Amino acid sequence: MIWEGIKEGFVLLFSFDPEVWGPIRVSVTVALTSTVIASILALPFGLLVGLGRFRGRRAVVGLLNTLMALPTVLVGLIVYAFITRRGPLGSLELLYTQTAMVIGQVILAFPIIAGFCAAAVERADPRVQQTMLGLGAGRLRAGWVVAVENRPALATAVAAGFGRVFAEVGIAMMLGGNIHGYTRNITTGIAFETGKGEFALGVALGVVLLVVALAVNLLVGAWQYRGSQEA
Amino acid sequence: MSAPFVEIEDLQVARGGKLVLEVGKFEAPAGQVTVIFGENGAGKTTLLMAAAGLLDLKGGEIKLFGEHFHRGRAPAPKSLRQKIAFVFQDPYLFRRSVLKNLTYGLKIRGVSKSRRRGQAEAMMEQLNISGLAGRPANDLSGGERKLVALGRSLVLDSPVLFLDEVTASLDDSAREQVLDLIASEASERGKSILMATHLEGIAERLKANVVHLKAGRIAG
Repeated sequence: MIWEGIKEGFVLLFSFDPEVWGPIRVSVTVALTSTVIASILALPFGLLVGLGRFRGRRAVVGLLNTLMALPTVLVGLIVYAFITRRGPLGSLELLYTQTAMVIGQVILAFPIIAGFCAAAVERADPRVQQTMLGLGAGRLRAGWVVAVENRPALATAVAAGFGRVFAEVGIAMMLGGNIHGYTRNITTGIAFETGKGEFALGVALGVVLLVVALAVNLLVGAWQYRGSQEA
Repeated sequence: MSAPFVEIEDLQVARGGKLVLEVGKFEAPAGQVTVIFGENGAGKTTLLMAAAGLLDLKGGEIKLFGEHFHRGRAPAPKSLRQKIAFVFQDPYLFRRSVLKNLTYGLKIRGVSKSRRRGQAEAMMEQLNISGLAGRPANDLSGGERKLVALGRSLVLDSPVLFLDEVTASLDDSAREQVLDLIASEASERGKSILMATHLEGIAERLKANVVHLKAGRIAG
């Protein structure tokens, strides 16, 4: 049954069945958007936490590490409470939209990207910052160069964030609502199709999930290899 | 003796709660070379980095050309740090070409793009490293890295140079060339130079003032 499902899954995939490619499009669009937004917010925050010297820095690091394991349904629940019709942001009518999925996924990815980024720059070669300060740079510019010099590690942080949001199901289900052709993505699609006995469709979507995860890992791995060759 | 370019008073630097450097009073005359001489672990690098405003101070104060420069938390203000060029003992070169390493400091100091390349090329010629211009900095040998780092700092044309074991890992001819260059920076261009070394003979070679550092204290 599993083998049959895999074979049929590949047929559906390469026949460009809209039932397969619709959720793929939603997954990729929403996950990419949320990863980009989360990266824009989380990378500077991670740099600040990793390189900054302020009271409570250890507590912030601990909080980020804790939030890395944030359950997706909890994020979904909290955002749901805000954007539901009777919630404080209910008038914006965001529930069961891709925007709501993006909001939830940004919250999910933020601590992952910021935490990995902070850990990477904290462990970075201290000579980078010393050299920058010794050349007369301000702290902001020195921090930026620390990030640039450690870009393979920051790419890993972003890839980890993308991997998490691309594979999550709780937020997509609770905030997106699994609406066919609109908010149904790969993971909610797998749950839905398998639930109604469409095993092959579920497998096809699962294969895509794995292929995208593999592609992202290969991409980051290639970048890191290039970085190590330069070093 | 000319007026001091750096004045240190009651300096204390701690690492991990332990006092590693304690200097009561120290002055280095402007326009000359002052060599901080001491064995490994004597605190030479710590003194240089503290004086350059790159280390937190537990106590004391540093003045640069009579102006309050650094007290307490590092780094010292950018505008004052830009009067200094620092060459580290184990220099970090950016993951770029040698030429870009040399122009990057100039970019930080606000030198226009059109002038950066010319100045960097002239410096590379002076150090006999023009042939390295296009090479990735991370492909270089230890000695070449040292010369590139020295060039990156000298090209900034700062009135003050802090040099940490700058001749280490250089072969004899490169060492002589670098020492000549350091001597001329002081004698011909009026640069004020503070230099740490554990090699005897360098101070005499540079006709420099000498400060002996031992176990984090000035010994004489």
